Amino acid sequence: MFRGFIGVVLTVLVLGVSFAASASGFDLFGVQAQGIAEVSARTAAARDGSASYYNPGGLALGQGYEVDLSALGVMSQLEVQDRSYAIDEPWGATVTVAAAVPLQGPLANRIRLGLALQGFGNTLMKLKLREASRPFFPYYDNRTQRLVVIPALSVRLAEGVGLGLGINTLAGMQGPIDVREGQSRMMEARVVQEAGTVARWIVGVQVEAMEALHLGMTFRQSFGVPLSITTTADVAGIPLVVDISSAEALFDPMMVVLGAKVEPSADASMELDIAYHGWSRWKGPWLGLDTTVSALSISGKLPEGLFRDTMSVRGAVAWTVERASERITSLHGGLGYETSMLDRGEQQGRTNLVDGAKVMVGAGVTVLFPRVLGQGFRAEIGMQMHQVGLYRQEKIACTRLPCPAGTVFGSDATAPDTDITNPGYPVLTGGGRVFVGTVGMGVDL
Amino acid sequence: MRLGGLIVVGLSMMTMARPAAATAGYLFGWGPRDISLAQSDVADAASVAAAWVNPSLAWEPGARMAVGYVYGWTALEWNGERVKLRDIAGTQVGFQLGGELGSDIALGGAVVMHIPDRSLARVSFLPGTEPVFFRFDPASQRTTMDAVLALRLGWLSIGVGGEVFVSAQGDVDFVLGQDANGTYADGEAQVTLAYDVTWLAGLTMDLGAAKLGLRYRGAQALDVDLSTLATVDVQGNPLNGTTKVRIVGRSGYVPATVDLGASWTVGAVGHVMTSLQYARWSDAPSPVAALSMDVDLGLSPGLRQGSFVMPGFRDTVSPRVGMEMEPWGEEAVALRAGYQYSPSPVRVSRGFASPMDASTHGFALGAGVDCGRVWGVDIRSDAAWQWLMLERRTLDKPGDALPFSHSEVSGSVKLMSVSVQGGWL
Repeated sequence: MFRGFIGVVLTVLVLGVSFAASASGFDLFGVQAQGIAEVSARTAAARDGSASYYNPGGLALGQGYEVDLSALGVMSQLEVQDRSYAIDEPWGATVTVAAAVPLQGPLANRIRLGLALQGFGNTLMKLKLREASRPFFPYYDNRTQRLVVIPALSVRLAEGVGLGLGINTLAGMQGPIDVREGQSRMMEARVVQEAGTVARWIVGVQVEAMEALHLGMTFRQSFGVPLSITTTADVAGIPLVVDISSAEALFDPMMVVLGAKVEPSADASMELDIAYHGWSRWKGPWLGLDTTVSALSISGKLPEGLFRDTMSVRGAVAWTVERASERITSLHGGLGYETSMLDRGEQQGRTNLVDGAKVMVGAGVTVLFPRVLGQGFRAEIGMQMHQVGLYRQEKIACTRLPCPAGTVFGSDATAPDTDITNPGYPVLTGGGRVFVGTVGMGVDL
Repeated sequence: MRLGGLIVVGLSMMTMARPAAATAGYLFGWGPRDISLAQSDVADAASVAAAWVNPSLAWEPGARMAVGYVYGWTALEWNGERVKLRDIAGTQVGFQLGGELGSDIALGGAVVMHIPDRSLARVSFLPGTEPVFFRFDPASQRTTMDAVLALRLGWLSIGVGGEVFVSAQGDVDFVLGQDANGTYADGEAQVTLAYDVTWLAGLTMDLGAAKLGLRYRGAQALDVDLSTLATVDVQGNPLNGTTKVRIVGRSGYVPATVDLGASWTVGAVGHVMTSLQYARWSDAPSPVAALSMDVDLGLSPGLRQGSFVMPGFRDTVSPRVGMEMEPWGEEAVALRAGYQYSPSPVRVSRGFASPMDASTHGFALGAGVDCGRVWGVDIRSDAAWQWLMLERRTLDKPGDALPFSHSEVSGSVKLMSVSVQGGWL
């Protein structure tokens, strides 16, 4: 009965937060201490609550009820234009839950729910849309500053075969604004804004191909928060129209991940994941503007074609070094590589985006105390480092009008290559490291 | 001068696009049972709805989960014409878990949510002088989530919890400029949505055939604080300069309420319930955001400010009565009916603002059926219907020169609710 209640509680916890929000600090660093230590090479292995993100199909192949909680911190040693580049909201917390749905009959022990939740700071969301010329790392900028909530449902289709579905949801913003002088002779505004739901899927399948070989595949839809506001005004007969838009703020790319895990012995396992990241469809982190003031129309010209798809390879090992009745100690390690999202062959003009290939290294320790609480109490630590390769691009000054794409220019139309104030001119450089550390605990019930 | 300011105002308004802070539950109740009893069940709430109806009743042993849907057809009229208000519709999810700690001690918790159909939240600001049915829109178009803990000590139960919502803070910088390549528009925006919580509390005394209940819900409003800077620098344009605007306001106010309820068991198959709700509308802030514009365009005046005064609503006391009959045995089939009267908090306006409202009568019916056990889960189904009718009311301002000096309001909202509940007992 108690376990049934726990199942219901965890089920509702999953459902209860599922309307709220989602996307990804998980994409950047991973889920919980083990995921961070193993640089997210968990597609074929994850069966706890972290499987909601890594592979919802793995949930159904797990057992019982699991709750994990961890705190994590992010430290940036990135530099752009010889200035340090900080990551906002560096402190966060992660909660993951996995629970079997307490049903009887044909569905008994076949359905399991999961939840992966992460929040940074005290904000539901901090949305940033950049001015075009600001130098920054789009891979790290404004991706973790939000509540991440991924509920998942998984079904065990057959012995050793799990199929699961997770949902990324967040609210976009759309609607008109009309501002004009009202009957009170004051400025009055008519505003209708909708925080519409954005939902994207995570689909995964996990298969126990052999006793010592597990395979997994996960597909994650791209995720972005739309913003579209049309402002109209009319004062003394002078019309004003301002369109503000961003197709995909807080963006995570589409991903396809294939993973294989082998267990050469009861105390050791290894996993290799290969992932494809669809960055090329991203329209960028900028605020789109289209204005008409009286008869004068001015539009912001957003750059295109700066991003390219990336590939990543991640490997992980887990080794149980101590197995005693009162304590089981496991070491975790990971190594990964991901190509740069920026196409270096594409010359940047006004924009100053910086990114490089990344090498990811992780390590961690998990200690399970089987007799402390429930079916077992876990204490975990994990850490990860990203080494971001040096990015360097020489800017090209515009020498004749109209200025070609990919050039920078000053304010003087007769000499556009003078008085250039673009912060990336004459050379745009950046690179460095990012460190993540986490401490967590978990309970199996 | 005004154009630059207007640009900034418009851009500022865009960042208000987050939840207003009122609820469909405030108007009709939460779940079919509460709706069909016209919110008279403060002393005798269903466990799965306890987080909304009375936090102190979330202790009942066992686990229950309910998933339901509500739809309200909105038909409000102003001067004889139908007002374009969105129907009130959404999914409702509730969960409650409790366990006994001793012979007369029990502990539990509950969560309820209302998730609107068309968006997680809707924010609607009308010009301060225009008529607005503030109790119905955007009040009923936002997501709510309430979570509570309850403890039973013999005949006394107490519960506390909170409802989560968000506040908004934002900055927008916007440039219309010109460089060697021509004119350009560029901008930067940052919007932060921070969590906020209002408190809930409840108390119930079980005296046998009679029960007494008390509930408190804190006030809610979305705090908005937005600063913006617009720079126009286009050669030959007489409007070049900067404009700073700050907008501060509170949107979607829902008053703090205190509900006192009682329930009596009548015979072997019936319950009669009543409650009184005190709503502190007098604390309501202005529904229009205060606006200040600091303009540096070489024109005067350089600083313009605008704000609407507090609306001056009055506190209200709403009586509710309800009855639940179980003619074919305990909890097999339940038939319910209820009535609620909600006085309007709006006085006749003497200024520019034109809040529209009238007292409402709510007539409700409902039923619940025990469907037995399926796959180890006790299934129950409930349905409710409520007709919320506005009294026809005439609002005449003291001067014909004031905007909307004569108004007549009337109309109704017809709401249906269904749910399925699973129990692990």
